Amino acid sequence: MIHTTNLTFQYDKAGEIFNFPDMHINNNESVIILGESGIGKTTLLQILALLLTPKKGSIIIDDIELLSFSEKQKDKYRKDNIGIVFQKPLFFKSLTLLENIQAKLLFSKTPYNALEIDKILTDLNILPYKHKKVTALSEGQKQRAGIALAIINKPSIILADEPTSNLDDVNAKRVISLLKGAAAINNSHLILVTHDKRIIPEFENIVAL
Amino acid sequence: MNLFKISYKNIITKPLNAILSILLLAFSVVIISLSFKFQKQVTNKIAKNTAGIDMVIGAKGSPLQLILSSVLHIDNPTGNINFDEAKKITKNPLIKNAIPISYGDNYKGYRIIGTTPAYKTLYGGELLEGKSAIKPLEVVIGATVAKKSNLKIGDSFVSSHGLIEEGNHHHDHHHLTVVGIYKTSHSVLDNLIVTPLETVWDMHHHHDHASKNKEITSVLVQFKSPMGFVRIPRSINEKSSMQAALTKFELDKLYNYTGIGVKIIQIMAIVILIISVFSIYISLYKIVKDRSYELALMRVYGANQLQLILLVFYEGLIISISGYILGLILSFAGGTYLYNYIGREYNYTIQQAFITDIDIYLFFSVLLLLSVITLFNLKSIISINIPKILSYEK
Repeated sequence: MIHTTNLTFQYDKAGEIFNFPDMHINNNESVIILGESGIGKTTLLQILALLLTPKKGSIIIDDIELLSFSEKQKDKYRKDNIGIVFQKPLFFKSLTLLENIQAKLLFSKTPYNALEIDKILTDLNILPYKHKKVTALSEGQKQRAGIALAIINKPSIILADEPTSNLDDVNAKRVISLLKGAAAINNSHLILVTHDKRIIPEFENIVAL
Repeated sequence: MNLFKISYKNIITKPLNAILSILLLAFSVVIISLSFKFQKQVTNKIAKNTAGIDMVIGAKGSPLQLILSSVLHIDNPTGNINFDEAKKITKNPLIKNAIPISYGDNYKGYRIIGTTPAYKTLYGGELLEGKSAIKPLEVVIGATVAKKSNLKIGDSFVSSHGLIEEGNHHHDHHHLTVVGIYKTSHSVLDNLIVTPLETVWDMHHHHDHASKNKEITSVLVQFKSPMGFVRIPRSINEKSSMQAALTKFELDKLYNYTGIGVKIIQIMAIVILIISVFSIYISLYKIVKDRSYELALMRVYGANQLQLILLVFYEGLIISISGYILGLILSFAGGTYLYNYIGREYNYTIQQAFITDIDIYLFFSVLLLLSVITLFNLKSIISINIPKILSYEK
């Protein structure tokens, strides 16, 4: 269960103050955080990913207050529990898709399981491209590869930042389906921030910023 | 998958920057390694050839020329001296050993040295096969002479007058016979044809260009005590028709002359090394800047800061080691060419080692410099603003 209260953030003293609504997300629930550009969606996502520290507020996950963690504890929590899908998937450009996955497993200290990797890549329909350089993948393949990287170490929380903003209707629907599917497979929370209203019907829980 | 592999893949994906740094580093390693090694190997070779020779007595002229011609065999002698007069001087109680040598002929450019058996002992010469030359016209040839001239035991040959191969005045009536071959000693002995003094006297009396008194070219002298250095040279130079040249003194003068050029080359090489290290610094700086989002991604994946630093360090390490190894190979190739050239042109063999202590110092210097430049990049690595980079990397 994820519970956030009074999250407030300010980039610098003279900057705009972002006040975020409280959220209560039950286990296995998916949430869409909706808002226009510049309203602080990515900021909220980065707070939830423990990459930014809010000015005040709390994030309680399974009865643990995450904001009381030291930076080292936050790093460990993020490594073990959080998978991030970036708006534009990020990779090690010099590596193949499989090597990118191996790199993530290396840094997250997750054991390598070839069968499991193949299964995820098969589910995402990118298995034939696992030995291809990520720079040689199409945009759609990159998007799915980004999802593979986010879920490969079975995180309990999947955070997705505008995953459909540059996609057409068909592909947008497909990406949402993939994310929800991945979350379902691993019993993960899926928290998605977007300004893309096309995907609203796909979610029951909506938080408006 | 490991950090080193990621670093390696990063380099080969965009190799241009790395290649420039590698070439610059290799270039500086070549110059530094080659110049230091050449200086050291020549110095060692000279030290080996001059060991046990404190002074050379010869005809008046340039003392350095006397040393170079009589000890290192790379110059013409200053003239001849009277054997009896030289012998009287060498009976001085301050002198431990005195070895007369006489030369003026060659075979295919290899000098024929008339001397006594003590000459062989001076250079630690041992027979590989055959026997010592005892009778006139018998010769023992050095290892390099045997290899290059194809002379074997029992072969006879005619020497040419003068010290260079082109001499067309042959001693046709005196056939020299090879009776022995020396083992390789890495000294001048390898490039000489050694014969008793009588051989040279016999050949030259025939031409009537020697006086009735026996002549030799020089005497190689070892002192019994340091007092010899003080008393004997002055006495010879002031009271006789001969000159005495102190080996160490003359060679130190030579090193001083030639050392300036070598020093300039070495300073230039160090400047190039600094430029190449700066180039690696720029490369690493570019790595941190250009791939900051990859470093941020690593942190998000769970990498700690040490792993980030190591990734950058490994890229520098691959560049540095590649440049160093390439430099070492080129240095060895350059050295081989240089030493072959010296061997061919001057019949002077210099041994080349692939790795010397200078190369090891150089290796650790490169590693040290790499560590320092990684430290300079440390701040950029550990102060990566992950949220900012990941937000802007669209």
